[in-house]
Parts: sequence; C-alpha cells; structure tokens
Amino acid sequence: MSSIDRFIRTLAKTFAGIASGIFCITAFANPPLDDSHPAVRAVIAVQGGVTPDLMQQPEVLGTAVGVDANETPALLVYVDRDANNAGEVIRNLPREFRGIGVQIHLTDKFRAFPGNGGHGGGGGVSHTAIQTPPIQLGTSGGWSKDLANGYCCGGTLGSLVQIGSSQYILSNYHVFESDIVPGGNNTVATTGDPIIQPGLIDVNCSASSAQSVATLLKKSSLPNSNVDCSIGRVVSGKVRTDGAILEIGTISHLTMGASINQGVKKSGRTTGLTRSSISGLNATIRVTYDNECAGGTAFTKTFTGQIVIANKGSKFLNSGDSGSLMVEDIVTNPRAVGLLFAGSSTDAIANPINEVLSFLGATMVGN
Amino acid sequence: MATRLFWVLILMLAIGCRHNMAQNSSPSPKRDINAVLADHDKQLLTIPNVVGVYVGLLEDGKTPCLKVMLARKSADTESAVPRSLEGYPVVTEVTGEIRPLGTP
Repeated sequence: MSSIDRFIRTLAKTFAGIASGIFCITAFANPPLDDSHPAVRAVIAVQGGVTPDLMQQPEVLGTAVGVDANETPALLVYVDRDANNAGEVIRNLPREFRGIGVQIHLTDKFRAFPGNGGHGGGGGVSHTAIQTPPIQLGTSGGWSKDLANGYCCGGTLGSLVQIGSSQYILSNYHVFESDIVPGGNNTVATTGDPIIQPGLIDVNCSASSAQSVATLLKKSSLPNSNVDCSIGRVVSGKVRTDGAILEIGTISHLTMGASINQGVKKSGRTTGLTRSSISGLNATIRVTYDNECAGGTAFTKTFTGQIVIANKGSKFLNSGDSGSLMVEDIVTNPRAVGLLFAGSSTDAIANPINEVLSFLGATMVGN
Repeated sequence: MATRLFWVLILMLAIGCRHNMAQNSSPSPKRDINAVLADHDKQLLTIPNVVGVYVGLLEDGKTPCLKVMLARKSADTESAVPRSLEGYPVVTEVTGEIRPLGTP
C-alpha cells in the first residue's frame, strides 16, 4: 500500500469517526419523544395514577401525554369548554403531579365522527355551544325572551351585515321578533332586547346561561314585506368584525343571483355546514307564522320570487337552522345568495339576498 | 316538351306547398315561463292542498316546467291541477306544509 493510499484510508476513518460522534451526540441530546423516552415514561406513570380520579369530574374529558411550551413532556388534561364551571375546575387543578407539569386544554366534547360528514354538524365544530367572544356566525342564537307556553325557541345567528358604520347580526323575523302578543309570556319583542348566543333552546331555556351579543332592532319585515328578516346591532367586542361564519369563514361583500342547479352551502345551528343545489326559482309560497313561541297563528304570508333548494330528508335545512345565510359553494370568500327561512322535508326556501339587503338598506360584511 | 314542362310545374307546385305547410306548422314562441307563473300562481294557490308553485326543471334536467307543491298527496288535488299551462308542463310535488324553521 502506498503512502498516499494509507493517508486516504486514515483520513476516511477519521471523518467516519467524527461523523459517528456527531450523530451520537445529537441522538443523545434530542432523543425521539416516544414511549421509550425516560421523561415520557415518567409522565405515563403519573397519568396512570391520577387519571381515574381526575375523570370523576364530568368536566374533565380525558388526559394525554404531551409537551409544554419548552417541549418538555407534560400531562395534558382536557376540560370541557362548554361546562358552566369550567373556570372553577381549571382553577382547582394542580399545576403539577409529583414533579410532572400539567397543561390544560379546553376542548369541545369528543364525539365519534360518522364516515360521511357531508350532512353537516360534523367536523368537530359546535354550532350550539357558547363561544368565547368575539363569536363567529352560523351559530345558535335568538331573542333572549323567546320562552312561552312551555317552550323556548331560537334559530341561527346567520351572518353579519353593515348599515352605515354599524354592524348587525342578520337572522329571520321569526327568530328575533315574531313574539307580537303578550300571550303566554306577557311580553313582546322590543327594540333593545338582548340577542343571545347560544339561543334559549341550547341553554335549557335559561338566558343567564347564554351571552348577549347584540341588541334587537325591530324591522317588522312581516307580514307586509316579501322578506323574513331581522337584525340585532352587535355589542362591541362580542362578534367577529370580519363576519366569519363557522365552517365557512369570511365571505365576499358581494352577492349573486340564484340559478337552477347552482351549488350552495350554509352554516346553521341544527345541521351545521351542509350543501345542496338550487332546484327552483321564482317560487310563490304560502307560509304560516305563529304569534309567539308555541303560540297561535298570527298570519299566513304568501311570498313571491323565492328560491327553492333541494332538502330531501331535511338534511340541508332543519328546524333551528332558520336565519342561516346561503352562499355559493366555493371555498374562498363565497358570495351570499339567499337568507334561509322556511321549508319542509323535501324543499328549503330562501329569500333572495338582494331583496333582504334592499329592505334593510344593508350590505354584507365581507371581503 | 309539353310533358316536360308539365312535370316541372308539378314539381314547383309540390315544393311550394311543402314550404307553405312547413311555415304553417311551426309553433308560435311561448311566453316567458316566469310571466306564465305570475299570471297563474294565485289561481293555483286557491286549489286546496296547494302550498306553492315555482319554476323548475323536469327530470331530464333541461326542460323548464312549473312545479306545484302539495301539502299532502291527494287525487282530488292532482285532478284539479292542469297538466300544462301555455305550453309548459305542470308537475305536482308532495312537499308537505312549508313552515318557518325556527324551533321547536
């Protein structure tokens, strides 16, 4: 072997040794955080001991091994964000167990996802839970006093509109202001009344369990006009000013006309995010309205020029979805097409959005 | 020569008649379906059990038609609803009552 060969061989061995050393050092310094890692095993050991007691509290939904802000293995404790006393539960949780740090995660209740979530209500997003302000639209809401005759009522806070410099939640007349007789609750809907999120139907009919997000501005669209709409002026800080809608996001400030076979979607309290297509135009439809929640008949209204949407099995629109905004079925900044308000188990009905906006003197809040 | 002329005349006559017949049998344009609906919707809504009427498409997905919404299936109602209006097919559809979709 020549001296050059030996030199090259030596050099190669040297570099190989250096590389191995670097690898070993790196591996020792950042071992993978799997269940063989000593710190992870330490958390698992604590988790096994404390989880049964923690989950005696119905507000605690589960535990897991995670990491804290310093990437140090820690015990994750999942707390139900919808629980009325979530704050108290969090305050009472220890910050560590036997030297293992505790990280608290507020979450919706865990639920099994159906194989096909296309009919809405899935995706892990709650359309009925109380939201941390500022809220997104497409959520449960209604008039704070919509309780009469043994029932409470509500619908969907569908979208955000602008009138002048003020923003308003848009929903239906029959969701916000259709209580027009003292009747069973000795009250009628009045400008200034709180609009709450969620609606009474989702807080066991107790308005104190909901939050005021707007104040009613009575527009009395029915029975005399051709739209079933109403608005509440937002309470500052309570509603996303970009008008974002759950599972839809922000929309366009522009609107579009309806056409047959057009794909549409909506986000509402009962069926969540759902999709369908327009099956009819220019509908003349007769709809009967009550005079308060579970009350008597107030009037029967014949609408003209309405939009008809396929609603087989009420999968697109069901009771409680009233007030949802119907938009074109595209991903980014969809344009509004109609305000959903009525239907049956075969067809849903929407006011053309331009008629609604014209009646209100409003524009959609969007990009 | 005369025979030839004769047959030419017969031929010209035949062509002229066919053209004329074709012109007489072409259908006159229909009114816009929305205008037809506007003129008939109130009348249709007076038929018991009818809750709505709208412009839709036949099952072929192409042919415009008028759809009449029924609260429930009824032979009496079916017989009262015309099969066509001003050249447009009229189709009944059992939808149930159309009601506001707030709760309960």
